[in-house]
Amino acid sequence: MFKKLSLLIVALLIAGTAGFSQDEDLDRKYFGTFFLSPFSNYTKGKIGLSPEMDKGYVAPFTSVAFLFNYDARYNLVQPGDDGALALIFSPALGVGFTSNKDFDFFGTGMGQFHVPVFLSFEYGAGATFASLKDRGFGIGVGVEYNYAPFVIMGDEENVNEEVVARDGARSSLLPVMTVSYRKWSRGGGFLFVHKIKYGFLPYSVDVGTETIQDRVIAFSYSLGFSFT
Amino acid sequence: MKNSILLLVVFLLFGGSSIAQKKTLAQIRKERMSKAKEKKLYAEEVNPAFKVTKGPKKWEDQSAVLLAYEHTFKSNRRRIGETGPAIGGLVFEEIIRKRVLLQDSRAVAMFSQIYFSQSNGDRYIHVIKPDGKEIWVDMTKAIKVVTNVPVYYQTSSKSTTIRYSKVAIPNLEIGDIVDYRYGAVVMFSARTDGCTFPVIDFDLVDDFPIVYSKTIFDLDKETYLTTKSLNGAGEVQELDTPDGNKHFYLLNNDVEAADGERWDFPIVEHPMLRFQLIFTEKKSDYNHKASFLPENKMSLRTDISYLEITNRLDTYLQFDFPSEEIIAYAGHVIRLMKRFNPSVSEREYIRKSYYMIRQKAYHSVSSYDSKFHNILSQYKRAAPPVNNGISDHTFVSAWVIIAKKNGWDYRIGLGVPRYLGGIESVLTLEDFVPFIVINNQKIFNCTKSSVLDNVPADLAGSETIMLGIGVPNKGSGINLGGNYRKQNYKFSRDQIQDLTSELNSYNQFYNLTLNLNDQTVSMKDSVVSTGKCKSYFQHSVYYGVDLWTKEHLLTGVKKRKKRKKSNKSSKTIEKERVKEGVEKADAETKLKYIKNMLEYDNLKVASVEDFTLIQAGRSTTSPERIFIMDATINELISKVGPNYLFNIGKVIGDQVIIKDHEKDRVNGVYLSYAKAYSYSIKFTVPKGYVVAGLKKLEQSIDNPVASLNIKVQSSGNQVEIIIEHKYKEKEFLKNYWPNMIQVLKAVESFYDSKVIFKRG
Repeated sequence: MFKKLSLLIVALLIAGTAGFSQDEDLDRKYFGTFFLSPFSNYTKGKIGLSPEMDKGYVAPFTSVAFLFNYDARYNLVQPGDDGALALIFSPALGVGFTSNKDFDFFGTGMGQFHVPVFLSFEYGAGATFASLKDRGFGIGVGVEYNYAPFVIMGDEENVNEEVVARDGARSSLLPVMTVSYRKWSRGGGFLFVHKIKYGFLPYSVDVGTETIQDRVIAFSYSLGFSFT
Repeated sequence: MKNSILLLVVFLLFGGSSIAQKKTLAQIRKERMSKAKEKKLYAEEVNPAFKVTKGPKKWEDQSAVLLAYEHTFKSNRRRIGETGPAIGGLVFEEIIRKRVLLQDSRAVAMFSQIYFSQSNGDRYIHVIKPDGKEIWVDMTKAIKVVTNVPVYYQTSSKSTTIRYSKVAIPNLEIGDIVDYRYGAVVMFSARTDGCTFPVIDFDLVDDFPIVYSKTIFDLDKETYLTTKSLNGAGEVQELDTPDGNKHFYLLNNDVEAADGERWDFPIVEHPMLRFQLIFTEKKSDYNHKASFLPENKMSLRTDISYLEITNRLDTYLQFDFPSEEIIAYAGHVIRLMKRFNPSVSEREYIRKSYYMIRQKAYHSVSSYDSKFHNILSQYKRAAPPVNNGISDHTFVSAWVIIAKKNGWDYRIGLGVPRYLGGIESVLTLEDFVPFIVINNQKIFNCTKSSVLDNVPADLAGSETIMLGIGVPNKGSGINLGGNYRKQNYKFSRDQIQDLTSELNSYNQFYNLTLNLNDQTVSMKDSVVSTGKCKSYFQHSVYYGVDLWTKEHLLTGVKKRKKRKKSNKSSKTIEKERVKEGVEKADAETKLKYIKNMLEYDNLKVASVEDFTLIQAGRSTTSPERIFIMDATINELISKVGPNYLFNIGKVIGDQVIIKDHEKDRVNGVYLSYAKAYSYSIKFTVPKGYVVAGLKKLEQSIDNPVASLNIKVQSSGNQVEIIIEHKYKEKEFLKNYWPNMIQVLKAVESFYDSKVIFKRG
């Protein structure tokens, strides 16, 4: 699944570079924005099941991290100076804390990775190269693959449990939506972007005789600036 | 999957590098916004004068016509947190808009490159072709310029914070209209008692005739305007508007061109608006010494009375509260004089005091040092010293203290500089040049080489106000308020002595040795100059040498003698060796300065062998400056076949060249001062040659404003050419301009003349 998705993204973005090389500045369709989320994000993974069901399950990992995020946006359609329908590829890499209530201490793991892809409607400032608006916004829907934590820390017993739970508990694929607000700085030198992303996916798992219902969650608030 | 990630990374890297070569989103937006703003600004213009496309028939022969010209001055109060000075204050803005019809190739060349100030976004350059086609100039292609911004494009405000750019206007043609607008913003921090802007002499005359001209003032309610309309400029009108701010305008239509005339005093003859803006939060707190606020309930004032001038004088000239600096000046002079010359005549005392102050005037007195000789030692160096000078007011105030201490009668004079024309042009007290009169002798502020009887060139022959009669007030110490209380002021008008050409003379005697083989000329010349013709540069390079010995005669202050040691220690010997080295290096540097000076006069100098300042000309008893100089000059002689050409005219250095477009003149002519030059060029005709072309050099022109007399005398192979050239009048009407041109052209012709040495 992830492999196919990656190939699709790559194909679309490479298509974007065709527009990128055109001389006319106003026709350019590629936009890059760099974001930071200073511990203003929350990720909750899936419950991890052990291969041997009788040994139970591992509680979901929850993460708060300092995220670095790069938005690569390609405008598929630009109907006017101020609007665009765009594809956004928004990989994010984080350093921070991941905890798991089954483990003994806070800081069970660290590091996380998010790869959402959105289909988005952009309007106003920063939507196109031609827009002269002071402010703009974007709203998009898509899917996100996330993975957390990269590294799990804990005592020997817990590590064993983690090993058991690794694949099921650390990666998720879920639907997400994003809302962004853009504003030019007073001198017009920087385009600041505030972005909120939220997604969740309910699921249920059977553990032995028990059915557990829970949801995967991905939330982040990011502040970024465009350097396109 | 690994491949996919690799592709992504490659894309991002590739994408990033492509972006780096392109304009950023911010740049593109700024440019587009700027262009949109340009078009909006242009489209919003409702003044029909800026829609005109044809110039009047009477100006068809002019290079260009300004169809419309608007110059706006704005002031806006800014409080803390608003755009502007960080601590609040005033934002001063100047906007220039001109619509120019180009009528000949000279105008096309001039406007093919337009300069504009960078600090205001409201700008554009728009070209309208004769067929109506409109072209917007891409202002983003402009490049920044730091120096050599033509005066034509400079704003009236000369703030150093204003930066300029220039942009090329491609494919301009005769008949095109260039419509441009730009502005500059200067910020001033707030002060409780107010902020006084420098006086702006706003010349309503342009290089080209103007069909429609409007000067606009849009001022914040806390900004006050004082104006003087001169030479038929019309009066500033006030607009009654309900927005609480102040609006004034001045209309001037059909203004003839002045074309940047040489030797012009714009304030004296051009339609001119002199004005000063004063910003003060509370009018009652305003206490500036030199400038005048409008009267109560008035936003604008256009006249200043003598009474007002005198009401301010006591604080302006600091008589009531003499500063530490003034006391230092005066006290030092008095102390030294009494110490070294306890019994000298009053006249002698005045003379010595003057030279004492002149010495002090060369450096800042803020770090006042009673060890006078230590300060003076700074001048014993090769480079021309920097003249920090002494302000006119400090100079006069110091003299008042000296006069009071000695119980002398004194008066204070306020000279009106020549460039202002007369007292009627005065706008602030700072326009005056104050001086002191003691024993009927006018004493003016000193320059590096001024002598006591010197009249400054800008005051020569000009009008003055003489104030009050100084009555000795021995009891008042240094508090001098008593004599100059308002009610005691008595006016009289006077005129300062004029400077005739006899007082300003430059006489140079050349003894040339012509070396035809090397094609060089060895020049031994001596110069005797007086008055304003004394070369400051040559003198300043050398005057520091043994200053104490020279100044001793003038001031009576003797240097303390050092005790001589009988045996020199090795340290002393080493010191002397170093000193000797420094002196040698100094001497070389000085010759280099002289060489540069000669080269500046358009001579190709091979070397300067010697320069000796025989007399500095810095004293009342010996006011002439005399020096001798030996130099070798290249490129004055050239070989043509078997003969040699000698550019004899070039020996006297660069001369004024009058260009064709300068022949017609609108205004009178104002030179710095009347002056007389004389040159004697002696040379021996090289053996085996005869000289031809000497007689052609002879000329004799004498008219009411200038003269030139060139005579050639020869005896055997000795030749002497005597050139006498005089600027008789320092100013005259334009009717006499052809007379001046006649003489200048004759001098130019001599400068270009050559003689031929033929094989005899």
